[in-house]
Amino acid sequence: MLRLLSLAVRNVTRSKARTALTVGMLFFGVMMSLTLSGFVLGVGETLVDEAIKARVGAIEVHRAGYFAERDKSPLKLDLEQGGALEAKLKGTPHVTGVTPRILFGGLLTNGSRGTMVQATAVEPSSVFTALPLADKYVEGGYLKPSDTNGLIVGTVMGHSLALTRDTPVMLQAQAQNGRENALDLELRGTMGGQNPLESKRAITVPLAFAQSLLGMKGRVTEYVLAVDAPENVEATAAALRASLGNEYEVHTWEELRPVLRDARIIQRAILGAVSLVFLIIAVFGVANTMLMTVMERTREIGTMLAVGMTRAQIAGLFLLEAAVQALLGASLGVVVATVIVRVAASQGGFFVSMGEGQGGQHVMPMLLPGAVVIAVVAATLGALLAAVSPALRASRLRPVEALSST
Amino acid sequence: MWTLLAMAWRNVRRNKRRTAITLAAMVVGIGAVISIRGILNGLQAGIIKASAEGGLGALQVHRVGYLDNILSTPLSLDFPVEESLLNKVRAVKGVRAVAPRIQFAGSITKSVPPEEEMPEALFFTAVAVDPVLELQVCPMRPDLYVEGTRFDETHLVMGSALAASLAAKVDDEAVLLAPDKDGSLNGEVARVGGAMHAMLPGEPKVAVVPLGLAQRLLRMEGRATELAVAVDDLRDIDEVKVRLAQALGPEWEVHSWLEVVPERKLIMRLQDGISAIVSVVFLVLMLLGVANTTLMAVLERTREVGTMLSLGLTRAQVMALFLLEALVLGVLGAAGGLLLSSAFVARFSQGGLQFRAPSATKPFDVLPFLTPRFTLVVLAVAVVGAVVFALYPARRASRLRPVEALAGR
Repeated sequence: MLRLLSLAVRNVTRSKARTALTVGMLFFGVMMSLTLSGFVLGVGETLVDEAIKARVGAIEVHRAGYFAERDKSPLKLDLEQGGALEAKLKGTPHVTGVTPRILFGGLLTNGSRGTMVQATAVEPSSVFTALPLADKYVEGGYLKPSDTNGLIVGTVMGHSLALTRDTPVMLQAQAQNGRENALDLELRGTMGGQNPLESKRAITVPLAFAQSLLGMKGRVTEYVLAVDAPENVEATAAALRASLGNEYEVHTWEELRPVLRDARIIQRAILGAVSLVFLIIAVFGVANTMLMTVMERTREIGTMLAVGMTRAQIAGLFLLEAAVQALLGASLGVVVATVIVRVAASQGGFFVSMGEGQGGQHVMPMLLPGAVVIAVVAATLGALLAAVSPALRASRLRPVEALSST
Repeated sequence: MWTLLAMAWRNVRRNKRRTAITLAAMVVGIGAVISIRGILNGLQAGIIKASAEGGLGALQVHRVGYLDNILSTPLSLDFPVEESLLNKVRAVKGVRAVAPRIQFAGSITKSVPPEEEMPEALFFTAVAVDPVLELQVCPMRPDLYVEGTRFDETHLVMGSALAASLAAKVDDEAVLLAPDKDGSLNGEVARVGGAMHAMLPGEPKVAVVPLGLAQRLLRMEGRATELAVAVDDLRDIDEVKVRLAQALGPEWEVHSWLEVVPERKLIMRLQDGISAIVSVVFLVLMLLGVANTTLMAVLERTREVGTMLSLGLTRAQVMALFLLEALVLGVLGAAGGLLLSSAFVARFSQGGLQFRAPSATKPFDVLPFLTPRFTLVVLAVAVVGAVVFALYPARRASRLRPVEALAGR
């Protein structure tokens, strides 16, 4: 076997131009499909990463029934702040951070005009334990731990309401008891990060502010949890469901933002299809070269058969030659794609702008190990498959005729 | 020349298996490139139609400064809706219809008997439209309505998320509250007409309100903040925009729907970019295949080249022969790819492909179609590229020395 392999390697190096073409095709196919997927998946993974670390959190815990009515952000389905529940959440294995929030709708006015907003009230002292990127894209400063009337708005919203640090702003909302209430706010910062899947009407206020506006002292509507590693999210959610019981409900970011999951699935399907066509075209190239090699080396095959090599060994030799070229091309492709993606990432990724003054999205290109393995295996398998027919053809030659051919 | 072409044709046919493999790669590559563009064409036409005719209107006319503040839907940048203004817009060449609108934000409550506890109010954004005129501008609007929905002077239609959170049934009474131009809160009773789907991502808590009702609610009788304009042909949208802006004067601003929702423009640009990269890679891979085949043909036919050269063919003719072989492959591959993609597009051009945008509640049909320009460019690149990629092997053949080549070295 090893001797066959060394023979195969020697044969591959015999015709440099042809080997270069075959290896080049596989290299180009693998490199391009990996680089493309690196950039496209980078967009998707960045959105997911930001959702988990800046907006949604890995896991959210609510009062039972909240999820079904989440479009209304009901205040009546609330939870105790601090206390036994929070302690229990903090003590759960794999949970690395816990922070309480209140979500509510309201009307933000600047004195002359108002508009609808979706407010998230966060506790500034603990928010970063569960949402470490909460202040990503925020310009001007985030809410300080003692803040009771700070406001963070999206860039577009701030612009629309002509908000500056000196503008008096008021948030009006329906309190937990049904009464309308309104309180003044001061602008602290604006959030430039804007992706088309998130509302431009999102604002952030301190938890203490929301609790006095909504008459919810010591109450919150949800807990956001961070989990040590993405692969532990499902298991941790399941463990929480079991330990918290029917009174509470536990959801992962995938359930809370099905949009992200769907976008991820669509993206991967499209990339898969594109990579498949890449490989089909590349494999046709390999098939051609192998066919050519067999024809060219007819006399050589005759000699090999005459000196006692079995037909299986002949077929194996040609398959090995294909495999060697495929592995060479694929590994080169992986190396170059890795370099491209690494270099792009070390430059800080790239910025997708949403248009003038609309903010944008930082994207970090990345290579998923799965994509690399799939590309290498597919290229090698495809090349082997393409070599099957030429290899069989070679092994079926008759020694005498093969030797006498020109 | 003709003799050479005939020879090239014969040579291509000589090694059927190799030709078949090369052509298969070309057909798959070209077919995929053209089909992908066809699907994107259909998808983007769907986005454009759903945007221009399903809610935004092709063009929007506002008072100067409105779009900058559109998220806060300022009511102070309003104007009286006069027939003379509408006629001025209608008179512009390329304008098909015009309808007044008011965008505003407020809260909605389902009215309940007084003995029950205080009902929950939901904040939402609304667009108030004239039930008759709006249909001329956005004829696709009713397609989005859930079955049994009615929209008229007294009934409002809510986005499905809003309708679901309010648990409102058709003909339920609802109370709208909204601050007017001066900031004082006002209320108005309306009836629920039903719910509507969304085909494109956007705000979930939205409603369409009859214009008359909104004018009473906002104390803006006879006034509006927006004119939605439909054009005869969406391809002329930019020219109509310029003419309309000229006709109206400096107190007005005219925007196309793309400027109102820049993220959709961005998404379409990204789609174009990625499909262009993919197309280039497909074409290069495929052409490398042609180069490979020509190289093999040259290597294999060294002695034959020697014979041709000794028989008096010039080096240019030898080179031309191999280039012609690549050309024949290119033309056959391009034809095959065109056939494949045409069959694909024809299969789905009457429907069958659907796309559901993230966070949309209703998918839309993607009807792929081919544009002659893109198709021709791809075919030309394939044919010319095949010849270009064969240059190196063909040159190599033409440089052979007759004696050595005849000896097969």
